[in-house]
Formats: sequence, structure tokens, C-alpha cells
Amino acid sequence: MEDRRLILHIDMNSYFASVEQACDPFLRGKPVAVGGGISKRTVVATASYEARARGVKTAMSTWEALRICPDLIVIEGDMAKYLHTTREILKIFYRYTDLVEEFSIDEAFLDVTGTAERFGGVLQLCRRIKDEIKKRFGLTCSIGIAPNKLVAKVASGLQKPDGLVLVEKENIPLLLKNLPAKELCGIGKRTDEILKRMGIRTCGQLASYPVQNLIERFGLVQGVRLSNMGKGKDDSPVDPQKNRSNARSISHSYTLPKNETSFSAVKSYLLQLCEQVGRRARKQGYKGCTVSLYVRYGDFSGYCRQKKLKNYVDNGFEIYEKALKLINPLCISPLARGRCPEQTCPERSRGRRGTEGVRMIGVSLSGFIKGIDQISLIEHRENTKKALAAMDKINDRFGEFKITRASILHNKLGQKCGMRDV
Amino acid sequence: MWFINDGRKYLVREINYEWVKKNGASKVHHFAVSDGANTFELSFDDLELTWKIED
Repeated sequence: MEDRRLILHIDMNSYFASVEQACDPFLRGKPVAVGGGISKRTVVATASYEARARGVKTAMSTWEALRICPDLIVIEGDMAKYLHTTREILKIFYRYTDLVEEFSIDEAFLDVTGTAERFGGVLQLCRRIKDEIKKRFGLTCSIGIAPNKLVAKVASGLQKPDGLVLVEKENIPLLLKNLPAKELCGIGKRTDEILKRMGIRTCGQLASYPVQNLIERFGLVQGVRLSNMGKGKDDSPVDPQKNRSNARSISHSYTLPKNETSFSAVKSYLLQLCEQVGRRARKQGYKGCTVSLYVRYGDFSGYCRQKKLKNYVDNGFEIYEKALKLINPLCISPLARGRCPEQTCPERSRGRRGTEGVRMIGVSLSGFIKGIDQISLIEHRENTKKALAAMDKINDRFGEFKITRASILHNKLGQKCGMRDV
Repeated sequence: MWFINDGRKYLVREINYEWVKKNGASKVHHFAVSDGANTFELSFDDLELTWKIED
């Protein structure tokens, strides 16, 4: 079956920056970076090709990007705009096949095995898709065509921007022979380091490496999978159901405007994030029993802790109470610096300094059940549920966080209404 | 189509982009427009039936 499949990988070029250039003609042809806006603490999410030519890269800090490209135009991202565009682009894809798998906000796989002939062949179909996207949105994409998803994704990356690359089955070994193994989707930094220690750098080397040795190192499933990947084999289907899979966790995190050494300020941000998590959980009908907390300090050390609860929760304040127990106030306050004895501070005993305040904080709820709402025998719990339901109704009608807890109103995070509602 | 901003009248010559955002029960339709020399973002709230010039 794999021999006869026609799989497309469509990758929008420099997506966020291209959308912004489509919105504003005066940005076209100029170096543009989309991220968190002009701030020392933000990073570049996407850079236009003009900016990339000047050395600006994704995940680069904004100040570094401006240093190497002083005339860089930095724009604060607008996720609602990009998500809307993605939904409209997906509608175009669905006109050509119903087997569409959204891989990310700017990538998708299409299986056009059964439909390509209707549109004059796969190349003609791809050209039609590119023309439609260009005409409607002013955006370009790179399309890779191959007998499977793995190779289609490699193919789309070969010609950017505005590429169209077809890889026939018999050309796969030649394509992959000298390709670095880390270029394959599914081989991350850690696996690549292990492979390098085994003397494997390219897909060709991975393909010819004894599969038994790979099994011994990585286990049966992963070992066989890696061997197949090296040979360009992948029989995974294009799965539209992945677009509708249930959430496994809901999380929110925030890089604070400045490294925060005040515990009360950190608590305020934490409460806001927990309220956002609770709101999303209630919207989707989930209750969770595991709360996780992520803290990163100004020196980029940090920790993650989690706690399993005795009952399932969807109330932001209950999530906050549990998350608060996971935070160590001693590692936030500058008064603790140099005075925090190791036996009472687990972070210092593990070599984490945490002496520059909190830079980023995140909270996550997981371990979900869905659709179960048991009436509590405790009156105040029922009253709290009713109050939350009323708050949700008001926010549904008037917008996110139009009514919220008074203690978080002053938060910049609260003013930004960090939760997206699209 | 035209609008007035800061006492000056602008004629919309091009709609460069449009998208929709939800704000509570409202759907807010956003338009990136230009008059040939300047660009603006206009939004229309389909529940309140009001237009706004976005910052």
C-alpha cells in the first residue's frame, strides 16, 4: 500500500511574518520578526526571509536580533489572526481530499492517493493549492510529495520558499543517503546524540546499521522504527482523527516582565495562570487530578514538580492552592540568598541557585476525566460551582476575564487576557 | 468606503487582509486596510454592530 500512496506535506513559508506582510504592504520586502514585541525578554517566533538573510533566526532573543539587524521591524504576534488563516487554508485542503492531518499551525499532511487524478495529477493538484493560497491570502507554501509522510516532510524542506518537490519511491535511498539523521521528523537532539556515539550521522548509515544493534540500544519498537526511518519507510496513515484528539493536559505559562523576587507578586501571577487553566478545563468539560508547576529562575535554572490530588478539580482557585504547595518561597526572596541552609532548601541542595528571582512560571492540569459532574453534599462547594458557572457565562458573553478575582486585576497578564478565545 | 480618524477622512482603497476573532459572544471582523499611503486596522463587532479603529 505504501508504494502507491501520494502523500503531501504542506509547509507555510515564514508563516506569521508572511501573514503580517500580507496585512501591511509597507512591510513587504523588509526584514520582519514576529514575537512577543519589543522587549529584552521576548524571542523571535518567526522571521521573514528578508530578516533570515540578515542572520535573524527563530528562537533568537529580540535584543540579539536587533543587534545583528538594526532595521528589523519587530511585531507582536496575533495568534487569533494566524489561527483564523490556518482554518481558512484547511478549508482549501479539504476541497482536494478528506484525508487532512493538521501537523501544526502551519503544516499539514494530505493523502491525495484517491483524488489526485480528478485534478489532473498530483503536480497539477499541488499547483492549484499553491495558487489558491497565494491568490486568497498572498502567502506561499512549500509542498513535498512522496509515498509516505516521513519523506514528504523531508521533501518540503528541500525547496523554500514556494517549493514543489516530488520524490519517487526509487529515489528515496539517494535522497536520504547523506541526509543528517537529525533532519528526520521523530529524531530529536537526544536520539541524535546517541546515534552519533554509535557512529551514525546520516540516514544512509542508519539504514545500513544492523537492526539488531539498534534494538539492543533502543528497544524493539524504537529500534525497528529507527531502522525503517533510515530507509525512508513509514507506513503511518494520514489521520484526520488526530485533529480531534482529546487533550492530555492543559497548561499556561508566562515569562514575567521582570525577574520577580516578591513572593506575593509570584503568587498573583500563579493565581491568574491557574484561573486560565481552570477556565479552559471547564470549557472543554474536563476535571483533572494532577497539578504540575514549572518555575524558571533568572539564572535559567528551575524545576518542575507535580502533585496528584485525591479528587478531580476544574476550579482555578483549587488548582492554585495545590500549585502553591509546590513552590518554595525561600528560593524567590533575595533575603534567602546565602542564608538558605541546604537541608531545608531542596533546590539549593540539588545545585540550583535560584538567586535571581523568578523569570517564568507555568502550571498544568492533567489526569483528566470528562463529563462527570457529581453534586457535592458540602453546601459551600455547590455554591462555588454555581459562582464559577455564573462567571463563565458572563465571560462567554462579554469576553475573557471580564469578570475575575480582584487580586489579579492589576496583573499585566490579566490585562493581556492571556487565554485565547477563537 | 471611508472613515474619519483624528479629524481626517481616509478613503479605503485596498483591503489587504481580513480575519475573525471571538470576543465573548461577539464575532469581531478585522480588516487590514490602506488608503494608498497609510495602513489601518478596522474592526466590526457583529453583536454590538459597531466599527472601531484598532491601535
